[in-house]
Amino acid sequence: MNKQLISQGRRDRLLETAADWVARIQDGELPAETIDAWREWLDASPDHRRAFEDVQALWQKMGDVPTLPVPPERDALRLDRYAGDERVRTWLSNMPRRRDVKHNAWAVAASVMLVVGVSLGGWLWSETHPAAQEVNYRTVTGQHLVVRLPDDSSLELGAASEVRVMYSKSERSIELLHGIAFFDVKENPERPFVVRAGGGSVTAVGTAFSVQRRADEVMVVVSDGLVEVERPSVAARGTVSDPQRQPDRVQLPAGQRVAYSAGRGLNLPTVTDVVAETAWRDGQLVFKDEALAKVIDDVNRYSRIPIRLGDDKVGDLRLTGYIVTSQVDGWLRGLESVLPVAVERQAGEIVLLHRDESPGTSPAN
Amino acid sequence: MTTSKPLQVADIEELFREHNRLLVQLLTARLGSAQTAKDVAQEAYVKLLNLDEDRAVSHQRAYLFKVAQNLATDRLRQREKTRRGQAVELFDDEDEGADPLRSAAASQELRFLKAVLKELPPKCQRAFTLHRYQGLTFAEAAREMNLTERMIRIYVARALAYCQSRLDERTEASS
Repeated sequence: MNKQLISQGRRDRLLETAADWVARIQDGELPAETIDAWREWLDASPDHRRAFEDVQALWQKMGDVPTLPVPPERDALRLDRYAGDERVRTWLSNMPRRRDVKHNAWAVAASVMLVVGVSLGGWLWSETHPAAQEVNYRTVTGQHLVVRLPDDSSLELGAASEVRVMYSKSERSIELLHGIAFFDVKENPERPFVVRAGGGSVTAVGTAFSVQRRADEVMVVVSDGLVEVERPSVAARGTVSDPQRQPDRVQLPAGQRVAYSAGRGLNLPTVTDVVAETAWRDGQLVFKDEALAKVIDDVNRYSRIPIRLGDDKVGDLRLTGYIVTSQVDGWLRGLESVLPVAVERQAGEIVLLHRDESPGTSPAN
Repeated sequence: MTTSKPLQVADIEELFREHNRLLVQLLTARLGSAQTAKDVAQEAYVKLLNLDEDRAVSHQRAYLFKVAQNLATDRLRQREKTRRGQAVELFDDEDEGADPLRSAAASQELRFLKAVLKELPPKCQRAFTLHRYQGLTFAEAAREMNLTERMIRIYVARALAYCQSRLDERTEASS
């Protein structure tokens, strides 16, 4: 066998992509555009095809492994922080540092300050370990993370997002540093659950809601219960009276959403489709008459290759529809037939350009 | 759409010429056997021919792939049912006695793979096991592990890539 004519580094990279295709194909029915993308990748180089065929053969072989290892213990699963954002081999090569933490709670507490993107049990927030009360969770492009918090509340972090969790005796405080997160909050009136983002804050007693930071605004969507949203100036400057006579805070019930920003303050709450708004948790982005600029903001948290708007005119185009976050490539390919844009692959990025359609040249259907 | 018409034998022949290779490739990858893949593809063409409703020509290809993949899913489900019915001892940590019918090299490779599975990070290993050996779909495994489907897919793919990379090493060392 002389498959090693390519470097092991390149071969390993190809294996990751090949394995992703094998996994997708195994899981079920692929739409036609994904199948085309698969074929394109296979045909791009004999090395691609070989990587795919090897992993495919491996998949079959694995079925013949006589007996399986005993499943991992619950503790091992709970303490495992591998979130799939790097290769297994890379992860394992850093293991010695991580392995110790299993046996030493203090070591765990200390490593929490260093390692982000982790999932931990509640006992780490013990009052006697003040240093362990602040934990950051971060996801990379395309990754989701579900975190069970020490009080049995949970948070789900969308792709390319980060939160800082700070639990004290009197308050459960979360700071959304960027991206989007969904919170399912365990009721405890004594210890309010407060999410801070972009200068404003969202306070919950027992409820479920999502908070998203976008370029210039924060969007809050409530799917269950009631939250109180406080706009930035109040949170930042205390109770300074406001000439625009905008309310400082608003009570937002389930089924509604509200946006706020430092510049415009608090918008009026509107009724919204909560299922669509939180579909990202199940791998879909749903848009209703949304500006393409905002759509691309969201899609970029899932796209392997960054997407850029060629000009403002493109960003103003409106879009209605849904995007499967694991199939951004396919969606991009179809975009030209839905909007007057040209999708161009340039060095290291994808650029969306406005395509002028004068009445005379539009294709006749 | 004005170009709708019932599917003709000629249409099927055209579909076959242009797409059969890719279709069989896809089905082989899914079903693990070129022969079964050809059978399923055959079944899909027949199904398309016996379809009463009109269908735009442009949709035929997408429809062919959809029908074929549905048929493949049915086969896999059937296979899984049979396998579960046989109540295989899955979680036995002892190595099985040597199978005289299996070549020494192949069974050595399988033992190696089994050891490699144990090297995987626990969640990655769990996701892969649930999907590959317990026949759970990504959605089912996601519920079981309280993760998203996407995470399960990532774990399964990472596990596969790692195992293949370890196999590469082993082949390299022994050649």
